[in-house]
Amino acid sequence: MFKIQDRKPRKAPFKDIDVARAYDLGMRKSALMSYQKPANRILEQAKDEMSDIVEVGVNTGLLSLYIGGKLPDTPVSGIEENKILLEVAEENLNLAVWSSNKGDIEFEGGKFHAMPFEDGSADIVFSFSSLHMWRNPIAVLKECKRICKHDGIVIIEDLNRAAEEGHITFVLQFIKDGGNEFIEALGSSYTPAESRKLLNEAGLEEWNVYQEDLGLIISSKPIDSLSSNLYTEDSNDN
Amino acid sequence: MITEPIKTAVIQLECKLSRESGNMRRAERYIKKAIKDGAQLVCLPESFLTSGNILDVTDVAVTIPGECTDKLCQIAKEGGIYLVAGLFEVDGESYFSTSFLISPTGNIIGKYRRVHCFEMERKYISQGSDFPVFNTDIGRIGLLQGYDINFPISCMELYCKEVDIIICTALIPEAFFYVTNQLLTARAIESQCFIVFVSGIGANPYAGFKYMGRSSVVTDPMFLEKELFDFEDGDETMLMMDMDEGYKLIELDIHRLHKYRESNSRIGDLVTSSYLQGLSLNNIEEET
Repeated sequence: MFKIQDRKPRKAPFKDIDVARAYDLGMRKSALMSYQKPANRILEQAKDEMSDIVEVGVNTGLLSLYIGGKLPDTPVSGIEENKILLEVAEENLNLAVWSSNKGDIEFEGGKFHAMPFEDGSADIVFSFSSLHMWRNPIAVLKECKRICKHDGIVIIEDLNRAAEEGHITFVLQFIKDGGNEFIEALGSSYTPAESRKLLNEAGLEEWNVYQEDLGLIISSKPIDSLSSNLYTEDSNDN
Repeated sequence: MITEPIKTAVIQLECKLSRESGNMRRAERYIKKAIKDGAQLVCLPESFLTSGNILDVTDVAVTIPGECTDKLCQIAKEGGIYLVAGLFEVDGESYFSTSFLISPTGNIIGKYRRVHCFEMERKYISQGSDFPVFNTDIGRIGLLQGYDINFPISCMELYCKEVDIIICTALIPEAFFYVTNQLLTARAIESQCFIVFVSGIGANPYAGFKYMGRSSVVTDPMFLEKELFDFEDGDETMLMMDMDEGYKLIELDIHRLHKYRESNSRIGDLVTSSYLQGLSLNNIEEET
């Protein structure tokens, strides 16, 4: 029905600031719910006295703003390659600062495959709805591992192109604006099997792949709450 | 005696309003990267921590020394570098836009409180009163801030004190780029020295403008010509950055500058007794 059998990589979206702002508004109006589970998964990993939480691909900054507000004593650093999205994220962050958000949040431009962070400097490295845009996902996965502390965790969440059609239609009815954007993103996202292959090629065989509703979750360490959703080579990948 | 060129890092930082922690994190990272690349002198922009948040200066200004400079001193000591940066400074009831120089041993050698402040600024900050020059292992260093460049007397004061490197930390609105760039070249030629113009970028949402970026290093082209004999127009601009955050490393040949000034200094031709004697704004008004 949605013609997403084969992965179709996206060209760089959001070349116009007004389009990016409209997308951001659409997310805030109708898609904040989709941030809830990823946010909780990140917050569950929080410890005392963390030195940094890094988001790879901040998009328009909404998830980092949420995490930063919940963990005001922990620095949250967001990296974004797309300058237009970064500009909207900065607008959102400026408004949050103006509104006295207590978070210690910082956004900056940078390349995902060469992030400006030291080795083993982040307690949590997370990414949400960005993996499908990475030009060289294997290099970025390795980079995520590089900047993450040994006792830290990497959590990467994105859409799952192999998600059941029922989940897709369910979500579409709630998306007031940006339906096309959603379908394009879904069509360029990875299946669990493809994700597994990327991890193996990156030398990250020990990392895990989970599927949940419409989402795909990659983690460097097991996530207990997702144990029943673990993808294995034997799982049905549609 | 200085024999080797001084490796100087110009950090063009995006200075974001009310984002002290983030500004510091990024600044720290660039300084460490510059140290790793062999920098001996590292420079950050004016008010790098708070951006030009002059309306909130009573809230955002810091003491010097204080928490921020302690951190920078520690990094300078670990890396064995000289470090220059600008901050809004509070001292008792007074506020200043201040630049300071830290030594490789992690001590603040000295500071410069901006002398020239435009009318609106003077409602919020006080003016400094002198133009110190600091004698260091890497040359005689003078500090200025962006607006000072509009006043030839600022550089002339430093020239008379035989400055080698003027480090001008700046946060200047984008609209003034062209004029500032012209002035920088003139000031470098007048002063027969290097000017390291380290400028911030980013938006000031209070005032609705962007900062000019385009950090540069300029010098007197005559001393380049004297040594190289292959001088071409434009060589005086040794470095010009664009509008992105980042840092550049450049070598300043102080030894060559000294050699040139030994035989070509204009300092001996100055007639200081004739300058600005009895001159005041009132006198000008009376004469016109």
